[in-house]
Amino acid sequence: MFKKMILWTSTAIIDAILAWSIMVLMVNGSYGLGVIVILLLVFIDYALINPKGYPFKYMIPALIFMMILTVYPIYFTVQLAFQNYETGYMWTRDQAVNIMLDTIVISPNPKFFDYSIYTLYKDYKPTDNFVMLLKDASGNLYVASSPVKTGNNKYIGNFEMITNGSVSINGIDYSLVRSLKDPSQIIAISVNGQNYNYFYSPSDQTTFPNLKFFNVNYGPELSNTEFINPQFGTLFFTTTYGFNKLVTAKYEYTLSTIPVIENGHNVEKTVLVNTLTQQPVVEHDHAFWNVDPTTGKQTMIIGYYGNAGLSNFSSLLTNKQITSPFLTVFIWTFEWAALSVFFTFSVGLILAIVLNNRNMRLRSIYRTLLIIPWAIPGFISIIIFRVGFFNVSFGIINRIFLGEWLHLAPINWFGDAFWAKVALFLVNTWLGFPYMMVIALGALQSIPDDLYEAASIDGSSRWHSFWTITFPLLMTPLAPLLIASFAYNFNNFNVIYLLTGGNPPIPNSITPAGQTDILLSYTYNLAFGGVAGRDYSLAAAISILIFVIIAAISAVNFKLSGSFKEVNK
Amino acid sequence: MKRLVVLSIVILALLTMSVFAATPGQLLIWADSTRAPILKQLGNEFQAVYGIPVKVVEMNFGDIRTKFITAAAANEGPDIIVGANDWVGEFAADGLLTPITFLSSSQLKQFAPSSLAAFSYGGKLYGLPYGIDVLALFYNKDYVTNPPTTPDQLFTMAKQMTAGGFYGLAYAVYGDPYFSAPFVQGFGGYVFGTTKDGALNPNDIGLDNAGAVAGLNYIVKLFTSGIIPQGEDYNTAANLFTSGKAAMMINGEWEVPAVQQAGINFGVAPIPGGKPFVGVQGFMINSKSPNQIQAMEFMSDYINTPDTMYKIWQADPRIPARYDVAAKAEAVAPWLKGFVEALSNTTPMPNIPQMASVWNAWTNAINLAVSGKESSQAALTTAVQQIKQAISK
Repeated sequence: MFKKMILWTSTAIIDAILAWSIMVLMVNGSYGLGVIVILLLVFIDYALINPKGYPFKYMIPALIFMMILTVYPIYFTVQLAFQNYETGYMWTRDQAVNIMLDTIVISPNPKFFDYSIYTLYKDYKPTDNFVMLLKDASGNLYVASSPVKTGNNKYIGNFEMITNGSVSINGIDYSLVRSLKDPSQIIAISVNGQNYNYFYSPSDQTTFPNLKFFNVNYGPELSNTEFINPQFGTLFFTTTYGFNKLVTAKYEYTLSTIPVIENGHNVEKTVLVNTLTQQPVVEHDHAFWNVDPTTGKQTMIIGYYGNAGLSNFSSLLTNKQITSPFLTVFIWTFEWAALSVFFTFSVGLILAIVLNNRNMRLRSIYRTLLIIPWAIPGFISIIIFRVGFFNVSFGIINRIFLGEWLHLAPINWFGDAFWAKVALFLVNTWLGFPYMMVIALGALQSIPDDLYEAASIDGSSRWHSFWTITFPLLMTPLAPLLIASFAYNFNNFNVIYLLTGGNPPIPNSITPAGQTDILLSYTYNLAFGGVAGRDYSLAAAISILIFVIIAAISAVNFKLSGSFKEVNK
Repeated sequence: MKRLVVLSIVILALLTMSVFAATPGQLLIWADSTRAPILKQLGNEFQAVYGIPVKVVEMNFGDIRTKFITAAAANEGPDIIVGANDWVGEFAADGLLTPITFLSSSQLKQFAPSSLAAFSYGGKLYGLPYGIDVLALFYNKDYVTNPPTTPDQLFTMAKQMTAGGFYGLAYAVYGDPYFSAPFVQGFGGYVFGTTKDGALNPNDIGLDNAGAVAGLNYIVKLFTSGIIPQGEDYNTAANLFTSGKAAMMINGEWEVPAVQQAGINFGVAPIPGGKPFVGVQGFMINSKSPNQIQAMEFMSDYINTPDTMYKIWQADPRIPARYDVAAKAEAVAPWLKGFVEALSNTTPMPNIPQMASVWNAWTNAINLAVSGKESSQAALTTAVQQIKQAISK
């Protein structure tokens, strides 16, 4: 009974947390993750409540991580591949519209207004209620009403010119209260009979002790307020003049309805209008454009991302820039992956066989030493290879091995395609053989000795028994690992990027590509190559393509090698 | 039960990732570890006078750029970031930055023009610069008394001194056109031309004009005459100079501490006939910040003062962007003089997104030419075709 209660309460808590997170995700527009969490919720409830789902309980933690770390990124990548998410198109359409609607421009011939703040005191302390007294260049006085919140961090106030010491805005009466001693001093503004006292002005040093209160309590609101008067214009505090003065300015774009002819009918359509040129903003190609009224020339204002259909995939097939060196890169990627597996496996297997000889002394010491290349972080050894070993003039290989010992001409390691490839294989073999050696050692130890005994009694040579006993018995456990290694090297970005960076370049190619670029480094250059632009969507499309290629190769390989067939079935 | 705890923590963690977002009434700054301490101190002073709290979040320099893009797009960015001018193109294209308009024309005159140009995009200034990176000629005073003033003089001097493992000039030809650009641009080449209103024109590429070819030929000559050995990259060049095996080196002010540490008696002069790129560091305002005016006040009243700029220079010794600060700093670091002189003939690193297409093609062209695989003219023509292809995408 007690156990059951714990089960039910915990289920309820989990459900509550998940339901809440689904709500948060959906409200924030993360529908993809939201759906995944819903699926999780259903599964968890099934596993916890249904007795038949009992075994699944133990899968829940793994499942959560799989959903978050594998399924969601895949979903996200696929979604991205069908959009135009790249530099210049980073917003949703709504965000882009909001950014345009938030843009403030100072009027061509701006008028400036000085201001002072009058605040309502309560118990001798200033409150959040305030009004402003404005003064234009010719000395006219205006009252600005307290800002009213109209939207997310947006406020509106009104202002009116004062005539005969008082004015009325939206039914509220404001009148000036002058000092009796010095009538030029306005010591308060009476708002419907309640006195707001002089508090702060940026031009009056005696009020500076109140600056802090002004900044903390009025600043956030004032920096996002527009003060409106139909006759005198709209006033803002701007990033040009700060809180020093108000300036006439306006929003650069407004929403308005214009009549358009659509399918032969007159319809009213809501559009963004540029308030400087009075031209409606046009929208095409996932972006908003300003139209120059005289020349008709369009300039892009802001782009947004959205569904781009198959355009990323079609540009993979038709864009010459991408396709022209593609074949060279594609073939080399296969050579690279296949030969990397071949070299690492050969070297690893030979060393494993040598180390497997029980008559050898100090075996474990050799074994430990040979694993060291694997234990050193790859990027460190790669950089040491590049700078210390292969440098044309200063590298050890050219200077000492070839130059001083063999008296041969130096090899231009990274300037020549063939030698760059040789260098890559040397380094990758060095990095990869310990892994192959370790797995081969393990597999060798599982081969029973009596097979070799029987073979030697039958007169088989060691060479012959290697090919007929050792090798076939090794391949059964190792083939899937070799395929995995192939797939790993197919995408082995680190070695390529750090050692050659894809160099040497392919001469006369339309797009910059190197002779040692593999698909991944090549697409990295295309999608992110450089300082000022990223094309996430194209990169996503290419990674889907690479996934398809690798999946196909692996499927064929598994099929041919029968690696996934269960033993003795 | 333990599992439930873990589960709820994971989900809560996922949902509360946005703790570093800007909030109205508080300034949030993202800066790296060299700039954060001084900004924290300034932030406290600002709060004491203005009452607005300033929070400085310390991040890796490279992370600021990538995180700012994603965070700002989700309305979760900081109010101010400290970064490099080459971010401006991408940020401004995405509408992530507020133009800097609070500097008066007399205030603008206090800055090195190249630093302002570097932070401009489409005719608007998007950052308040404070420090400049520029290449100049380091010379070892034990070997060179008067630094060369013309490219020919540089060549003859370097040629005379190069012998038996000692080199007249060292610089990183391989890997990065940044170091070759001074010659290419000094001889008349350019990456992008400018339109009438001063904006960069990505359709006007001057990397294969006569000047660019002459510049690359000059570099090739440095190779064929043996002054610069094949395969010399950044590390080897710097090593040659700091170990006293090279008389002159082209490098930036960031290498000064290493040279000083090596005990080299060095001087700095502008690269003869060279027109290097400048990279500029500065402050930028997030266009979606709810505290733009407050951020502007912080920058105009607290950052853009000679005292603050000098303190920032002490924390991060690049070439000060303000002339008055540079003059003050020269008193303690005389080598700054050579760099400040070098600033007079520079070009800002293009910050338009199309620049991304240039680097690879240009690197390849330089590598092909200096290794003798192609003539300078042919290599550059191919490079320009590649760049045009990439831009017209």
